[in-house]
Amino acid sequence: MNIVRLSSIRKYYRSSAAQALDGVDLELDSGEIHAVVGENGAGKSTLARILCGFERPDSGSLYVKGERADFSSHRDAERAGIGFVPQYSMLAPGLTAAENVALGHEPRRLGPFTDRRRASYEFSLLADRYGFAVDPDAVVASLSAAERREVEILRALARGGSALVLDEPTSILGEKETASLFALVRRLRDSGAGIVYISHRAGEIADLADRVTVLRSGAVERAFAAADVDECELAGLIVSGAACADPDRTEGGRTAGLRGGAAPGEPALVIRGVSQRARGSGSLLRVDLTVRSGEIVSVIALGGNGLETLEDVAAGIVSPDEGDVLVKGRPLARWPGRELRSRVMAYLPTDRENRGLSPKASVAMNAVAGRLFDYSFSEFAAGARPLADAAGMLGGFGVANWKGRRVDTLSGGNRQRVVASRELSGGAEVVVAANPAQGLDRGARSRLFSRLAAMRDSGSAVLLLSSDPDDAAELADRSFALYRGRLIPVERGESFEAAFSKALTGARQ
Amino acid sequence: MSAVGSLVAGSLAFMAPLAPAAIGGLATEYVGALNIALEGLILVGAFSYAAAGSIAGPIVGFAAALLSSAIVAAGADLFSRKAKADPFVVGLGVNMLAPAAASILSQAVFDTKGVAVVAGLQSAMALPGLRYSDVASFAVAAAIIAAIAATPFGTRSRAAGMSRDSLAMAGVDYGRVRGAAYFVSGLACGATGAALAASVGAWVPNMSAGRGWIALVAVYLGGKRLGGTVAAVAMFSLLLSAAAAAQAVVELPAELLLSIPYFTAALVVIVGARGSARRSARRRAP
Amino acid sequence: MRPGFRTRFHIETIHDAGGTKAAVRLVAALASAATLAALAAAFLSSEPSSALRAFFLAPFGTEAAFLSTLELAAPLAVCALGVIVSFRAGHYSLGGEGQAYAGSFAAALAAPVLYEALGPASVPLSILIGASAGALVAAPSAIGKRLAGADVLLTSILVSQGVIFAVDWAIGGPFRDRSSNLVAMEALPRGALLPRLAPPSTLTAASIVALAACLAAAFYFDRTRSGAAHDLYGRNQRFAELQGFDVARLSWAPIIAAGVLHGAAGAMMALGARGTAIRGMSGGIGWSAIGAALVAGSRPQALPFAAVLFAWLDSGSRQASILSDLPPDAGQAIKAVVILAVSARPAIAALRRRR
Repeated sequence: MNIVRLSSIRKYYRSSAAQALDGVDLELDSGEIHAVVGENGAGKSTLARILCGFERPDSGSLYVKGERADFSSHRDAERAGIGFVPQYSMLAPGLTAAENVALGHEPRRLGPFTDRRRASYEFSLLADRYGFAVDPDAVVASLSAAERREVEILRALARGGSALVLDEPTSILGEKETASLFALVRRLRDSGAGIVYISHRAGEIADLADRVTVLRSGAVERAFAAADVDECELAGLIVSGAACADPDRTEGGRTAGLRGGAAPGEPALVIRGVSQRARGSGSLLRVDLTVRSGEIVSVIALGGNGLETLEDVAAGIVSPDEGDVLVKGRPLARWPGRELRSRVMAYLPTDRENRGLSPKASVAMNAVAGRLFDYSFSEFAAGARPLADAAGMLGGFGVANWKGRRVDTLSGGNRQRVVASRELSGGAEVVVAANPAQGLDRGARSRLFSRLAAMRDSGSAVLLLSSDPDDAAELADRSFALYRGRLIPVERGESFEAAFSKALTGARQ
Repeated sequence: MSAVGSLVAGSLAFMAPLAPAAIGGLATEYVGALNIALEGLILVGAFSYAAAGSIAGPIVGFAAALLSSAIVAAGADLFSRKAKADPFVVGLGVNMLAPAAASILSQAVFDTKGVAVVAGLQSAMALPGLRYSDVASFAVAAAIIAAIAATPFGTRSRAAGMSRDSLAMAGVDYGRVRGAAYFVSGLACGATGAALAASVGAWVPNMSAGRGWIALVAVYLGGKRLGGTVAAVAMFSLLLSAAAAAQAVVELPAELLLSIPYFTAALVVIVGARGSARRSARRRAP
Repeated sequence: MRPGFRTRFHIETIHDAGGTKAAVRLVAALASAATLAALAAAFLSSEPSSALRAFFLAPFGTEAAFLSTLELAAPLAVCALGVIVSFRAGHYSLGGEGQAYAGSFAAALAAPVLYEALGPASVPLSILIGASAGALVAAPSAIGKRLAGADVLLTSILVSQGVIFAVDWAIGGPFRDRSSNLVAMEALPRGALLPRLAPPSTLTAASIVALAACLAAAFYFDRTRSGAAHDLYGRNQRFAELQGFDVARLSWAPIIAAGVLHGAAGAMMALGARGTAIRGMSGGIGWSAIGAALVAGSRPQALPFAAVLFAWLDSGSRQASILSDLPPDAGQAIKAVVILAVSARPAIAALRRRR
């Protein structure tokens, strides 16, 4: 039976000047798992947001059980039985699990007051029904990533139930948690619910989906039954032009970034016995790591295992509770700020908006900010040289049409290129690159990676921190996994990816 | 009465007008908005009490104070949301407009732009040192505490301040929650203003005398939490009361004594910031 | 000059600017101010025509009146410059009122002594003393920010309030000139004051200094490395730190600089038209200055216009209250509404589209 149908949905975003959806049709039947796949920016998330009532389409119509519907908020979608599990946490971190689930629908007592006990009780009942064991009165900020995901799912099921939209639900989950999520999704499907499953992971979809819709540039490229294609074909459909996933794929085709010749030189970035306490499971426990000149060392971790903390420590944002960080033999804190930042260390932060960019300043200013004081007073006042430098740097990373624009008018990918053009143009001796390829399309990603490889070849020490094992496979000379704050070396061998996924999820080698 | 006893009674009298404004500041702080217009809103309340009270008596005056402040606060917030104006700037505008508008209206209502004494508006003593208007003011503060601590409005406000996404997931409109918080904050400042005007039975230009700012400081010093804010209010009241009591003992001019609580509060803000900087340094160094 | 350079390289500023051009804001401010003044005259006065005439014509009617209005704008512009300097560093210092008042008091205190010793050369020195007093009042906020990260908004307003009480006491108590029926200090000798440039107007060198200061600040923000770093720090402190800027200095220096400017503005008032320090003389200049800075879109080059606009509202409403029965606070109320009007983005965007 048809639960929801979307017809010719269009959505244009003025802020990014992008036609996110351009006439999309989608159907969801009860008792099916309908996968929506596509590259970054294909329009998957916009589609989910419209389906769940967070945004209204510019045109097109939405039918619930055959009736025309118009959602003005998520509440309307919930009334129609549609629940949503977002990609990134949409919980209030300071409220308890039960308060989050009850938010907007709080049970009351004595007139206007919240009945907290009943909210907790109802949460426990719900959790029991789906086999979760989250403490209803635990504050969300104190929960692990997997537990938070469970709270999000319970919130979606509390009032939805006949249809569930999951947006990249496994991106922050380990293997075990992913398996139990899949079991739950299948159980829901078998009990008659319709599931929209948004992902770009071919393996998951081949495993789970009944039907697949492929989006590209805001339009449906293909829709088909999952049984009609195999995992290999699917991967090709998700990422256009991707090589078919070969089960015994070797390093051969994918290691364009690997070093050919010279051996690495002196240690340039040394993290020695570093421990750092952080919230949740983000602490570091006696981490030792040396990056020498002329090599790329990668550290890969899934969310909540201390990667953010390691980034803070390596980039000198935070000085650790214990241990030292040495750059060219000198403790990080003892470097004069201007010399360290403008010449010695390049840093591509995960949080680009807050660390890598000044979004309301011009693109040109963002590009030259790091070398501001290299100009003389009169050079800067005249402005020609900084502007020419900006043109050179931005051109090198393919940022076009930047003149007279503010950074916040650029798309996400272009913003990252602005960061890269500032940080990587100077030939820094130490590079800390945190999730550098996130949000980049394939072309930009490979350009960035070859720049990092070129810097390595000319003697830079590169520390690559990422939550995507593919980054390590493609670029790194040595790799580590970070699991619960400890570094685990991963040997590059025939089963590189298998070794990785074991290390990342804490499985015994 | 002993010296300590009279100090405590004195601080209750200072606390009555301060507590609601601070709790009101906390209400908007919960939704993540800094209401810098507290000072102006208190003036709106005080003037409304005197103006409406001169026509219809103190009880109507009190109600008018609550309502007019609340309407101004919610109206300013609505303006800032609909016109996409910076709430900080709008707050400054309200702070500038309130005394000027009160002065213009005072000319029309009381026929003076100075002090306007209204017969029968000075509230009687309910207890030694505590007027009926002070009791009403405490009652408003208590009601707002109950609302932000134990009703869905409070939970939603806190959620709005922490993550707007969580509100969107709950199908609750952020703007409405914020508007309601501003309304509540206006009610609170109205109570403060009414209590001030009722304690002297008159409208005095600029009678808020920085209480709105002290209230804001109390919210900050209290760590933007309920218990902390109440404690900070109590501390400031004790301070103000001590400064007033000192006037009788020490041979210092009134104005110089009046300045002491402000300097002390500034010092406390700095020392408090240092303390919290140290605490967080243990987790993340600078 | 390289054509078009400014728009390409210049960075937009302050959190409310929203990319709106300063000129558009000024036009919006002027339009709303004129409308409101007309409405006020029509509805708040029983003799609208004389109120209107007083409001619109009196401040500009004669050359002397016009120059006096300019003189009124000078301290306001300098004060607003202080606001821009601190706000563009992301420090929301609201202590301008107390800092200016302290500057007036200190200058009026020092001027007779210095004049005795130095003659006419005492004038710039007296202003310097006033500026130092402003800096002194700003110092607790700057130190608190630098050493403890204390919120500048709170510390600046608290210290300023305390200082206002203390200066009120000083002017009304130990330093009061008992022979005058104003609560004021002794009138300063003619030679200790800023020289008048075009009597009978009150115009002094202060307005030239103010104009020069605005232009210098515009150059600083638009064309110097330190100005760019200052701006980038104000937008995003973490980013500035990661570019290797001297963030330790930027955490306190703009606050002190603002104090200096506020104090100098106060001194200009005392040594200008007022001729001494009068109780309550700052009269909301700290708040008006924030308003003028906002109307100028935080651009120093637009500030002279915004300051003249506000000075016109002040002097127009005062004239109107003398010549008709318009309430004198109408000017202050209009300023507040102008600030609100300028802060609304759709109105300004519409104005820009229509252009």
